[in-house]
Parts: sequence; structure tokens; C-alpha cells
Amino acid sequence: MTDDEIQQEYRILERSKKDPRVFGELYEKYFDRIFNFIYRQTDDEDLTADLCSQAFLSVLKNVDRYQFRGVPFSAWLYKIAGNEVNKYYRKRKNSKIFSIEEVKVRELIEQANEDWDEEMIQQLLRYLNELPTDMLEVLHLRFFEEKDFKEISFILDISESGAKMRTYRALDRLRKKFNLQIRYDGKE
Amino acid sequence: MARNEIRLRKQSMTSGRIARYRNYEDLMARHEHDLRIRKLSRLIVYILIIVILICSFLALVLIKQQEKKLPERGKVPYTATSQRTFCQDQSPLT
Repeated sequence: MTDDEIQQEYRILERSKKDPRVFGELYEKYFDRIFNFIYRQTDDEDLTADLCSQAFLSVLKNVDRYQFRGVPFSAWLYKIAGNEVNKYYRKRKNSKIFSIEEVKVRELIEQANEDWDEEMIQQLLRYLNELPTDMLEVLHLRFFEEKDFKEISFILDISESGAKMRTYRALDRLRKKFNLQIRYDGKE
Repeated sequence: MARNEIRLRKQSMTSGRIARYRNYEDLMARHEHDLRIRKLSRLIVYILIIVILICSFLALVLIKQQEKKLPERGKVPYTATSQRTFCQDQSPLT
């Protein structure tokens, strides 16, 4: 995202502090992404719709408090949506779901290794299942939402080096489990 | 370590499917409803504070009035203590 786009979104937000209807533009722009982000953590369409609208409602409620902190507005949106998801799981005390698209997993494996089969995908899922939640959250944001480390650190409320460390550790664990060479250049 | 559940989805969510849940008008209506409730609850809190302040002021005035009356009662010669002393003095048994 370019600086101009970030500034433009910031201007829209400033205007929506006075007139909430202006926020509609950002709602239309980010609805699909936030919906997918939540859906990947719930695997339930109706629940996702509820949490998504709750997240946008929370954004509208707190738009007066929004301050630019060097990350795009979408990072704040992801943070609020993530908080809504966590709130839901805290209330229910259920184990957290990570629902990932097969297409995306295949893309990631193809980037690393040309030879892949169904067994490899199943193995990867088993190994992902053994990772702690904080590592899965980082992998989810990095590889499925394609966020950079600065945004990840903002969304998860951790330092940028912490986000990098968590990602490398998670990938290391996966590499050790089976000799999967996830090509990862650490590009931000 | 927290337990998680990893699920593999064959299909991605399509834009058309997500569009069924996209409704900004509904969101605005909910937001305005929330704003009204927030304003109303703020008004109720202000009214409660004013009522509490008025009640405290009235209580203070009443207490002051009582305090003014107390010294006047002290001047009355016929008190329970003096009555007992008087009765004891008049008793034929003593």
C-alpha cells in the first residue's frame, strides 16, 4: 500500500468522525477481506457475519479515538476483528479453529516444492495442529492475509522483532517436523 | 499449549457469497441505535447525579435545622433525668 493510499484512507476516517456515512467507502473496500479473515478463524458463515458486523460497529464507535501510527487503517480493522474473534472464543472456551483453503495451502507448498501430494497436505495440517495458537496467528496473518511484520506486530500487539521471531520459530518447527522447504525470504 | 483445530476447506468464499452479508445501511442503523442508547444512558446518569446532589443538599439542610433545634430542647427544665431525681426525692420509702 502506497503512502498516498494510506493518507487518503486517513482523510476518509477524519471525515467520518463528523459524518459516519462517509465510512461506507472503507466498509465496502475492506468488508470481503475482514469477512475472510474472520471466516478463517471460525469456519461458520453466520457467526462470521455477526462478528464481522460487530467489528465494523466497533470501528464506527471508536473512530474518534483512531490515531495514525504508521500502519494502514486496515491494520486497525484487523486488530479489532481479531479482538472480536478472541472475545468469542474466550466466552465459549472452545478450541480455536483455523480454517484454511486448500488452494492457498497448495500455492504455498508449490512455492517451496514442486512435488506435493495429498499425503503432504495432510501431514502439514497435522504439524500445524501441534503449533501453539500464537504461532498459528502469526502464520495466518503472514501467509494467508499477506501482512508485513509491521502490521502483524500492530495487529497482535507485539514488537516487530517478536513477530519475526515467532514466524521463524514456527517455520523452523515445521521444517524440523518434515523436510519441507518453505521458501521464505523474510521480505517485508 | 492451547489446543487448536485446523480445518482444510476445499472452496474459498466467493465475493458473491460474502456480498449477501454486506449491508452498510443495516450497520448504520445499528450504529445510530447504539448512539441513541449511549446518549440516553448518559442522560440518565446525569439526572441521577443531579438527584443525588439535590438529596444530599436537602439532607444537609435538615441536619442543620435539627442541630439548631437541639440547644433549645436543652433549656427545657423538665427532662427524664430531673424527673427521676424528683420522684426518688418524693418517695416515702426513702
